[in-house]
Amino acid sequence: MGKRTRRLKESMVSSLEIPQDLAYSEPLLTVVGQREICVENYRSILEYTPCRLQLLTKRGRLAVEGEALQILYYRGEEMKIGGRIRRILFEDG
Amino acid sequence: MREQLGRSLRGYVRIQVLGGMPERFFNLCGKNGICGWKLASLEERYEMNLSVKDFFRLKPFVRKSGCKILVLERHGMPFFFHRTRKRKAFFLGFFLAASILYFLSSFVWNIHVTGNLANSTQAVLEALRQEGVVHGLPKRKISCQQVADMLREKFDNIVWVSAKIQGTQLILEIKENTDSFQAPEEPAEGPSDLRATKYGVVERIVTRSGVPQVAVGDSCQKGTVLISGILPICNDSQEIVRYEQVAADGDVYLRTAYHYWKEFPLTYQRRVYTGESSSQVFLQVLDWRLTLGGSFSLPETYDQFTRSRMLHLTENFVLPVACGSVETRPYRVVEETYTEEEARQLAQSQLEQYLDELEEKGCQILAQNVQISVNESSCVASGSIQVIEKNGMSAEIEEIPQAAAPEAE
Repeated sequence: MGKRTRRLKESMVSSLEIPQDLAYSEPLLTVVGQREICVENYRSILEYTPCRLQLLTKRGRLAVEGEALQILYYRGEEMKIGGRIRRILFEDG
Repeated sequence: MREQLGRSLRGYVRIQVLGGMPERFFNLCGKNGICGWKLASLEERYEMNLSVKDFFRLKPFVRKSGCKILVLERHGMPFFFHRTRKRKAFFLGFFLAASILYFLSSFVWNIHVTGNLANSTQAVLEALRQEGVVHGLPKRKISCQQVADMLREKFDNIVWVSAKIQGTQLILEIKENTDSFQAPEEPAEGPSDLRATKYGVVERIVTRSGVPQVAVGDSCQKGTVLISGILPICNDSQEIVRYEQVAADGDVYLRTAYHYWKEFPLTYQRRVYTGESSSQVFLQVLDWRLTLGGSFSLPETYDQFTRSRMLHLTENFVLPVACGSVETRPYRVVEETYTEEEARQLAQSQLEQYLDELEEKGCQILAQNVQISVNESSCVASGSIQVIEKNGMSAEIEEIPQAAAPEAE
């Protein structure tokens, strides 16, 4: 995407008041304390171990680190992770 | 909760995913609309729950990702029925219970009345009963509109009724007219006088219609006309031309006296409980009563105290079954005599009660001159009570005077 196109998109998004997560396909995170996190707009699971869950989103990688991580449920674009969450990391793709 | 129930009804399995590329397997599942839950990563293996329907769609993804699938647990209704398929009596009972439940749900089992303050719930239920709306009536036989109309007709102070059937409950929401305003008494329709009903001295008089015949300070006998219903109509020269008849109306307050006489003997009978008591427990169905325990012969004089509890199926659905206890307490009758002081106190309290009753009737008590005397066998309270009270009763006009013939010019 060229610079001009991106600027045009940004100005349109702000003037039309379109939610940014929709416009830029950014992941949407809802964190409940240290025990639950809901991720929307993810693409796929890259790595899943009891202490690390790495997801691919449309804007790079997202890693959740902790203990006894469990995927409470997952669908095409939404997943809920439970366990003891220590860190949430955004890694540029 | 609802989701959990749905999963249990449809059935689900817990699977184990081994080897290959498990992440790829999960992604393939996710992209193809296979929703797993409780996905846990254990050492070298993964476990997750899947619906039975989704489980049968896994085959191509298993092949693509090179994983192995093992079914660990089976849950839910389909598996339960499969396991218990040989227990015919269980299924029969299950379906019988379900059909009985379905059948019973087509009746009204509770009538819930809200918003009633002036009319008791029992009164409302009794009115409904008279119209055939009772507990246990099939729902299809109840017309909410008719019930609401009927209640509005039967109770004057109910201004709004909402009747609805929710589940097996008939809910009646009632709004009552809570204004304490009462229409004044209708005066007699025809022409009438207002007459005194007893001897007294006029204390106050307010005339609404008619001609007052007495003034403040006048004394009147029983039958004296207080306000006349004959209105003289005068011409410009103040000569009576004719008479008109109206229904006399007004408030006349008379100062009058009540004679008070009350006598009671000094000896009286008192119950002295012996201290013994025996309890019996009973169960009553309609008029038939089963009593348990305490089968001793009844003494000559005794009091019985009964505590009874009706069995309620629902809030207002009372079954004709009651249980409770009867306590029998024998007593002896003892003759006792009031002392002079006690007798005077009793006479005084009786007098005060009488005065309270007079005040409740609207009398204003001016003075009371009641003497209490105690003789050998009785106590006598006698005297008079001065009061101001509203008096007057409508009565027919007895005599209509003839108008003087106007003089010819």
